[in-house]
Amino acid sequence: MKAFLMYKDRDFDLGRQLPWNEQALTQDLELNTLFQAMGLGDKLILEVVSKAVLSSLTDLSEIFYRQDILKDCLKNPEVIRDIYALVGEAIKNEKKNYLSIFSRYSTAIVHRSLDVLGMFMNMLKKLRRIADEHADEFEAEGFQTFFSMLKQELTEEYFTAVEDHLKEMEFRDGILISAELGQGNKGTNYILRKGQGKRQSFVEWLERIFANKLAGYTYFIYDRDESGLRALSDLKDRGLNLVANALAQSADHILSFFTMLQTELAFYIGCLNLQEQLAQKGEPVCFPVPVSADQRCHVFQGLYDVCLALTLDRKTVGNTLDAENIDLVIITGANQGGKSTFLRSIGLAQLMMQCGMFVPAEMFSANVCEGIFTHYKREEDTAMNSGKLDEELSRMNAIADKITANSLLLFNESFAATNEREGAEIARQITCALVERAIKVYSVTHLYEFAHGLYLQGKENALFLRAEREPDGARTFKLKEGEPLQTSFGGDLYNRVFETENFAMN
Amino acid sequence: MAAVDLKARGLLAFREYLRDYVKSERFISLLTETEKLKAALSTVQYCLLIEGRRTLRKNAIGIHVRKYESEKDYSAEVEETFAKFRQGAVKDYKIKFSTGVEMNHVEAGILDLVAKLYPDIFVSLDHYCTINSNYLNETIGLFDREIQFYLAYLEHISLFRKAGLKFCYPQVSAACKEIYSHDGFDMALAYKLLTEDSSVVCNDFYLKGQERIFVVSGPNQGGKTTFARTFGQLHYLSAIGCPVPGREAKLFLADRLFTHFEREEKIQNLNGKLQDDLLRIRAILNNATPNSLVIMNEIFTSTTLQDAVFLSKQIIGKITELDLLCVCVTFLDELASLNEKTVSLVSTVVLENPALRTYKIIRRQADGLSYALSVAEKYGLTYNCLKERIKS
Repeated sequence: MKAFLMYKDRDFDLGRQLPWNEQALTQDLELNTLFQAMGLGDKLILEVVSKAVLSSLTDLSEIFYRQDILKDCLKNPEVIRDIYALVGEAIKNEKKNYLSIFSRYSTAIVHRSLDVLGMFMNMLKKLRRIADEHADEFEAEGFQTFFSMLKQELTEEYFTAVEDHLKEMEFRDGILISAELGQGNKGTNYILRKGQGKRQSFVEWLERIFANKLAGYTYFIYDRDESGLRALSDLKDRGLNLVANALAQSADHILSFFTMLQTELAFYIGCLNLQEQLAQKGEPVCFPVPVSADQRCHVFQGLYDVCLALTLDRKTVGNTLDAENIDLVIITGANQGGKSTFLRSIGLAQLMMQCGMFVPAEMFSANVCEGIFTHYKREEDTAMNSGKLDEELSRMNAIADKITANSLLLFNESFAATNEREGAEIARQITCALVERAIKVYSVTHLYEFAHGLYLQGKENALFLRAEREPDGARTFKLKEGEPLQTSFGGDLYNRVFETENFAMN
Repeated sequence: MAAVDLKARGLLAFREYLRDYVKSERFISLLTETEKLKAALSTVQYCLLIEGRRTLRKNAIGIHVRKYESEKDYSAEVEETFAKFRQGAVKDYKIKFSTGVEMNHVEAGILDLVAKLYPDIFVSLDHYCTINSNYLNETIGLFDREIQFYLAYLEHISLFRKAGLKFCYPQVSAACKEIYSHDGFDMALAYKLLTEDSSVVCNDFYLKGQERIFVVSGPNQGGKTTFARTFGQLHYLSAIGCPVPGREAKLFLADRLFTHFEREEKIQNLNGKLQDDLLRIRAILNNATPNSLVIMNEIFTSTTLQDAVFLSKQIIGKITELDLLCVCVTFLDELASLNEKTVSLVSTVVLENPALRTYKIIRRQADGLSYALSVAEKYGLTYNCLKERIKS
């Protein structure tokens, strides 16, 4: 039995290797803000969403598979939260009933496993009941498979059969064990046996013994023979060893079914949490339309930075773009004009789309990317062993080791750690090489020579955006197409910071 | 043993002995009887029914014993019932029981009942035991004990061989002090490194003509002590007839092997560390003959440099007089070229990154600067570099 709510045909592996640049992505795109909002204090959700968001899907059908499931979740949030709570309770109960030091005794393992299996059966019955009541309300392929699996596997007959076994394992009528002779004629290869047929042959045997009808051989251990009783429990432990293992492993298997179900649901619960918070702020979300990786498409309306939205009290400013067949987007313009926010919203939406989530926009469509990379300006290296440009280039070197065609690379004020001319030349060489190798590049830059040089080339696959500035210096936080300008209006910022002093001097 | 191509005299003689023994009447009958009984015992299968709520006797739990009648394996059925939940590898809950042959009285009691179920087999077993109570041949018993030494050693070195390290039978001479070893290594360290999955660095050494004394210097943690241990191990192992670490070796068969490694200061002997060092070395030199071998690791570290040089020179002088084979690990470069019998070895570093050790010990003049120089070179601060940079 498998949940298969994250992939159609395989489990969601929490232990998976994350992309090597997960730290950079998390830092540059402020992903922790997103994860915290989705997790709402639930550690499992936090872990699952961070793994899911960072391990992007590239197969469109896998993305649609999750989108469909998420749409059902948004329609039926209570049912999903009920199942999540139920599964969590089952796992918590199992943890409470732990084995401790008695795990060295098969009889103790059997007892513990019977308790746990009984509890699990109750939980599975409840799960089955939910499936019976609500299965009709779910349309996604993933949920339909899941619910029909529950109905098919967890039948009344099955529950009865399991309960019979669990009762049998209490061994009220005694324990039947077979054995052979090992080294030194010591008994070995002890195996728990069950008689054939409905009426078990060993019960018959017993009855014949008690009726004195069978001249068998019997060894008696009397109550006062303490070492004999110890030897007897040792014998029982040997006899029950294999079945104890089978029971305990079965309990573990059911536990891992619950754990996997909990893990996979955690992703969708995280999405529900996020959607509810955004709805409260009046921010829109929509299901994106992914297109294949070899196309170039970035068409959206009202795209905002979800992390900024989560931290702001007021509404964010959304951006609109219509970029078909564009490989390179250069963003220039006013300081604090929303360039970094825009760049982050591009990265966030890409990651959210490629893990099957909704995206923070009114409308969104983009090609999927083979890999998502960020190259942001960093604080001075504290280890003192590399200069700043050296450090930036060594990070670029690491990216170059890993990047492939049809990836997305976001540059934020890169290569500005040297004089403008050199920085521009490095940026130009790197950017051109990347674009020619079919990598989609978004670059926020103050390097005028670099941006303007590309602008003059007038290539059709390049787009130039500028952070807007009103004539009075006010920012709209909207990006518009436009030629790169020679100033980033830092003077405005300077003036604002020193305004009071200037005023005082006047 | 007949199928093996043996060369060792000891094993050939033992094979001859065995050949006669297995032809003896006594052995043949023992063998056939044993086989027959073992086959019979392996057919014994029985069932135990341990009573539950209902018991046959008051104040007692009965264990009923009878022959096995192909009842179903219950654990398999349990596994099948829960098979649908199978998710992947889970923990093994099986308990490991002691595998000793001793029995408690319950097991013995049950065995008695099993014997009653299979009377024929157990009567012949009784008979067999009575007539064969003194079966063990003394020579074979002795062989069983002694061969363990060889087996244990071979088993141990197979670990190293699996990792690609070489072992060889050295040429051994009690007369010639021209020795060599190629690709030798320290077995103790190599064992530790192999368990940590690290690679092992092998080293070569040779002595020619008058050369007798290796003086090993160079950066710390560079493999100097390991080299000294390797040298000692090679000679020790060859002296007890074992193959030694390395691709090829010619070693000296010493009458005694002395080691002087730095020791913790002991409060009991009331002497200073230096005096303790000297006492130990005197004991070694008093007992050594020209055919002995001495290994000294970091001697005289607890005195001034000048003293250490003086004392070491005296000791090396005595060793030279005795014509001893010797390894001397030291930080004193002065010892490296003391006389025609000393050979200077140094541990080396990677030139581009002097913090990295190669663990290679090579024959080179000790200049005390190999490490410091390469660091300086990296930063252009050697005497020559600095003179170049500062224009007059």
